[in-house]
Amino acid sequence: MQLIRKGDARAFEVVVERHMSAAFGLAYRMTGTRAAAEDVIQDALLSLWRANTRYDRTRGSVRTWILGIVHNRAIDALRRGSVHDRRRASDEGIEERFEAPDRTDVEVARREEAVEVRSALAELPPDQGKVIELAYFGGFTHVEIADMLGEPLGTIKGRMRLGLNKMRGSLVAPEAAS
Amino acid sequence: MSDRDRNEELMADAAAWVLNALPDDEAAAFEAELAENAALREEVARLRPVADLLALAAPSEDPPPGLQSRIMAIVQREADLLSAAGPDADRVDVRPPKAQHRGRLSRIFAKPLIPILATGALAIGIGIGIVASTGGTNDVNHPVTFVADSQARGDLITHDGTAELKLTGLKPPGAGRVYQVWVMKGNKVSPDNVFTVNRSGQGSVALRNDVDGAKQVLISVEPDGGSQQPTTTPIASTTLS
Repeated sequence: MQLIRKGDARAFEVVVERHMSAAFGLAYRMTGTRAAAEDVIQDALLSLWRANTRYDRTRGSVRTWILGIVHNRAIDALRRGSVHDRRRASDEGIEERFEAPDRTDVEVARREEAVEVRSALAELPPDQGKVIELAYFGGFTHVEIADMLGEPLGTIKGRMRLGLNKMRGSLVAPEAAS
Repeated sequence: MSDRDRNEELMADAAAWVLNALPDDEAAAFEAELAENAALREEVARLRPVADLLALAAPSEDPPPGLQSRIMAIVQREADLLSAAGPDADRVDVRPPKAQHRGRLSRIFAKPLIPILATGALAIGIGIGIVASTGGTNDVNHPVTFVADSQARGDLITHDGTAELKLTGLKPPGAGRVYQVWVMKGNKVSPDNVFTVNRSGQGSVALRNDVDGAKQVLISVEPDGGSQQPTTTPIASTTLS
């Protein structure tokens, strides 16, 4: 990452190659169209290259950091209204589609990590899982979700909190969770 | 509302915030509270790693052919642009040898760009941006003056020859466009970093050129990848000396 900050295009390309499929998958999951996902990815990766956003080790791996940037850019696109066909995440589920082929052991490990996260999400009570998916993958605010589901604002935020806490119990190491 | 209820509401807001599910105005209010509230920061620190992991639940997918090469073409152009400004201009934290720097720049930046920048600078009003305040120990804030965008605000913060632009309220430059920074020393103008802004209009960029001895820093809108010379009239400037 230091090389990228110094303007090393080759170092940047290595990072792009390593995380492109995951980044594109997230952008496509959120925007619902490949064209919109392309715009999001280009915006996010150029932002990373231009060092508008700096890697923060405390936020986890480079992968989750990059995906966080992609997520923010996808939210920007959704809320700007530039993506007209807004996804209804709850209608889509999180099933696999056209998944990129396995390439390396590292990729296999990542798949296992992804399966764990999906399982933790799937194990939530449906009302909690739904609000988290609508917020994270659909890019909706809690106000929009409350309106969509006909529930009070406080209920929606409460479900988000409960759901994240339950996922934390499933995903975070016991010593860290205590 | 009791303190207990207020606290519960803030903790629920923390969950919505880490999911990026607060509307912009509520997010801004929450972030202000976060700066003052240690318990809230702890809650965010607990929940944010979980929210970050959610990204992994999206299935990986092969990107369209050509996307990576399109992005890398822009990246390479920008890398070449910075490289053309001199080997030391690629490093924010190292001051380049001045004689070598000036020599390269005088060869690279030909005279035709000067009228564009001079016109822009006149339109903006040279001399308006003077030292306004001091921040950190050796930080000096230079206010940025915008031509037409009345909502935009910004400062160039200089520190021992290095500089960072921090801007708010700036409209996105448009599809396929970026903002580019230019550093003017005497009659010579050096291309510097490009940047964009987020949906709130916030952007920041560290300059790669040494600003010691610079007269002005200007911003123009350029095509993706940036330009060797400005192709549009600057939209903003700040005067250093």
